[in-house]
Amino acid sequence: MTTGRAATRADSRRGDAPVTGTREVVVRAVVVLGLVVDAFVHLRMAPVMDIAAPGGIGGGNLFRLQGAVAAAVALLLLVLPRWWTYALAAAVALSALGPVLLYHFVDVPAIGPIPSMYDPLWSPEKVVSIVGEALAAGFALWGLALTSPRRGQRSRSLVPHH
Amino acid sequence: MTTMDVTTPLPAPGAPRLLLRGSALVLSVGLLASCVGTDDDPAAAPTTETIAPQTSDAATSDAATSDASADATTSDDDQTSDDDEVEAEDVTIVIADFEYEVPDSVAPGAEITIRNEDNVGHTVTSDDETTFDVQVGPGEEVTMTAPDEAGEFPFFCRPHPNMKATLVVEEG
Ligand SMILES: [Cu+2]
Repeated sequence: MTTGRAATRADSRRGDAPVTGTREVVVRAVVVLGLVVDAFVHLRMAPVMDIAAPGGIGGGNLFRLQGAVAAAVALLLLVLPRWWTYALAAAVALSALGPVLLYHFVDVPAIGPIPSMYDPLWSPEKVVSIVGEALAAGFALWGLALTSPRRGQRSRSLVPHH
Repeated sequence: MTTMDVTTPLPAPGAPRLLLRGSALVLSVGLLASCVGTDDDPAAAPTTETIAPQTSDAATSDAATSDASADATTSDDDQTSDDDEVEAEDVTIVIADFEYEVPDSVAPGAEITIRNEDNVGHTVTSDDETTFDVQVGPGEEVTMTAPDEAGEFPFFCRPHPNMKATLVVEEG
């Protein structure tokens, strides 16, 4: 059995102390919903990306990968709200948000196995996914701040949570 | 993921303010997924993988009309020897910079060349998604057969639904 002091130190070092404040739950909900939208749109658009970007490993497969990873991270964050799952969520959301904006404005040629995925036109799917990914990324960074070990301890000591 | 219903807007993600517990989160995610899911109606949409144009009564009338159109469209090029290629050059849809350049009109059953000059793939898909639905890869050139009946056939690109044009089929 560990001593209380050891457990506290381990908790703060690994950031494993559960954070159950109402604010964190709302932040987590937004991130999860944003990632679900991200996943849904990417899986839905994968078949037409097979057509638009058939080269290399295939734009459709990249979309399927993004969709699967976003769904998995959404589920993980849902059941395990930790600083590192928030960091993962932010990384996944940004890995979708960055390229969709880049390929909208810049005609990027094929890069190695990554086909050209240029698409200067707007579509409802694109707008919805950008909104979802931006919300997920922004709120994930907020959640990261809320759950980071030092910040968490400070806010617990300063703010009287029930 | 079954079919594409490209014109259906997805519901925007709502900000869930009242969710206070993990179980409520699970519920809300489930609700979002299911209400988004009902937006497409797989039963109603036809399969979209057809390469060749599907016209109701098939090859016989097809061949007859394309012969006729070959005569019509190559009339001023009869001096040149290879009229097959001349015909192909005459009836061409060019895709460049995410826009279609379509001939003013084509004869019923005419063979149409589709040339894609972009770095990404496109399709030439009739609005009903069944009259014709042809994929053209990046930098590729394919052929399709115009519908046998005269009329206006609006079409679009499945990966880029904002790419739109109309194919006019009329007797020469
Ligand atoms: Cu297109």
